[in-house]
This record gives sequence, structure tokens and C-alpha cells, in this order.
Amino acid sequence: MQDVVDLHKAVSTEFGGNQAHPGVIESQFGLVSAVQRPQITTLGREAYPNFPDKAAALVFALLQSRPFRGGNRRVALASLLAFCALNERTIDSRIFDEKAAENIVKRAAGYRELGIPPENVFRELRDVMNRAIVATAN
Amino acid sequence: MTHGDKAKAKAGKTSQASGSKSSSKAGVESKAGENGKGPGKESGGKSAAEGKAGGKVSVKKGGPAAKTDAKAAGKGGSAKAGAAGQAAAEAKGSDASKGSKGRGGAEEAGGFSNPIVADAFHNGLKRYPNAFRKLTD
Repeated sequence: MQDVVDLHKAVSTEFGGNQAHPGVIESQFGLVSAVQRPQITTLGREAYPNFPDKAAALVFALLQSRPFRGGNRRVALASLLAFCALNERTIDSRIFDEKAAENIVKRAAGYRELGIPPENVFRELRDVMNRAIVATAN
Repeated sequence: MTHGDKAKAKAGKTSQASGSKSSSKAGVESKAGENGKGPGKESGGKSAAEGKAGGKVSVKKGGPAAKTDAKAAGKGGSAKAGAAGQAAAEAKGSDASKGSKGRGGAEEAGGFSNPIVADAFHNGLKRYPNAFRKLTD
């Protein structure tokens, strides 16, 4: 959780401008819920058994709950990259390029306004993650 | 003890001192740098060797020359230290310039607790600059 707050501070300082609120948490519950989303179990089984599912769950939870006052979408993208780095995975930038990242994050963040069912958006996100995330070769 | 011996002792002391000073300074600078221990050790060794050389030459030439040589050795040491200082100033300057751009400032202000996360963030900024810029909230 501290890492996500650090990411928000960095993102806000980098891109937020004068109206940034670095590290200001609007919803503590939302942040905790989003950070713990990849680990949840349903009926004794992991809800997101694969790593790409977990990554998609984390990003989607951060975009859904919007725990910070601003910069939630940037934090979601940065958290995805950090989550992959922490778990020794890399994102194939040919599949998850800048345009794809921007589009998928925008769609996942604004699914209510766009009138898209959340399960469809999550499925899209999960498909992209399944194709893009690969284990780091060491 | 003759005059020459005194001069020798003084020159030796001064040259050693300058050598040790410069070596220690250079070592600190190299620690602050990116390469770590290797270059620091090398530069320290070199400056110490220069200091010794200065001392030997001063013994041959005598009293007044000993001072000048010791000074020269000191200058050599200080020149090295100066070079290291310049490098540090350049590093500071580059940090300041980064700060003015915003990236260094983010690192200072953000202060990541996990270096892996910091690396991932900076790599992400390099890989997805436009995506980060366009994702306004």
C-alpha cells in the first residue's frame, strides 16, 4: 500500500501541476480494497489464480475505487508496471503499447460513463494482460 | 638532525598528508558516484603515489624546493580533489536541471521506499510518456 502512495506522490509531482495533491488519500477503504483485490478468495479458491488476472484485478480495482483525489488513472498504470516489476514479470510493449495502455485505462476508468458493463471491461483488460505479460528471462 | 633531514621529514609529512587527503576525498566522491568502490580505490591509489613522488623529488633539491614541491604535490592532490569537486558539482548541476524538469523533483519529493518500484516507475515514464501525459483525471 505504501508503494501505491509513493507512486501517487511521484505521479502527482511529475504530472499534476499546481493542483496536484501528492499522497492525499480520499478513500482509505478504497485503497486497501484495491491493493488487496488480487489476493481475494471466493469459496476457498483464489478469485484470480493467474498473474495476469491479478494484475488486471489490481488495475481495475484502482480505477473503480479511485482512492486518491487526482491522478488515479496514472497511478493505476504505474501500479501495473510496479506490480509486474515486483513479481519479476515484464510487459511486452509491442502488445501493450502507449496507445493500448491509454485506451484500456480510459475505458476501464470510464466504463460507467461509456455505458459498458464492468465485467466486459475487466475481460478486455484481462485479455490484454494475458497477452502482454511475460515472465522475465533471467 | 640536519636541515635537509628536517626538510625531508616536512616534505614527506606534507606530501603524505596531501596524498591521504586527496585519496580520502576522491574515495568519497567515487562512493557518491555510480560506479561504486572500484574507481574510488584507483583514484585514491594514484593520488597517494603522486604525493610520495613529490616527497622524493623535494629531498634531492633541498629546503625551499621541498616546500614548492610539497605545494606542487598538494596542488596535484587538490587538483584531483578539485576535479572530483567539479564532478560532484556537475552531478549536482545535473540533478538540479532534472529537478527543474520535474523528474528529479519527483524522486526527491516522492521518496520511494522500494527501489524496485522506483525503477519500475522511471522505466514506465520512459516507455509510456504520452500515455502518462494524456491520462488526466
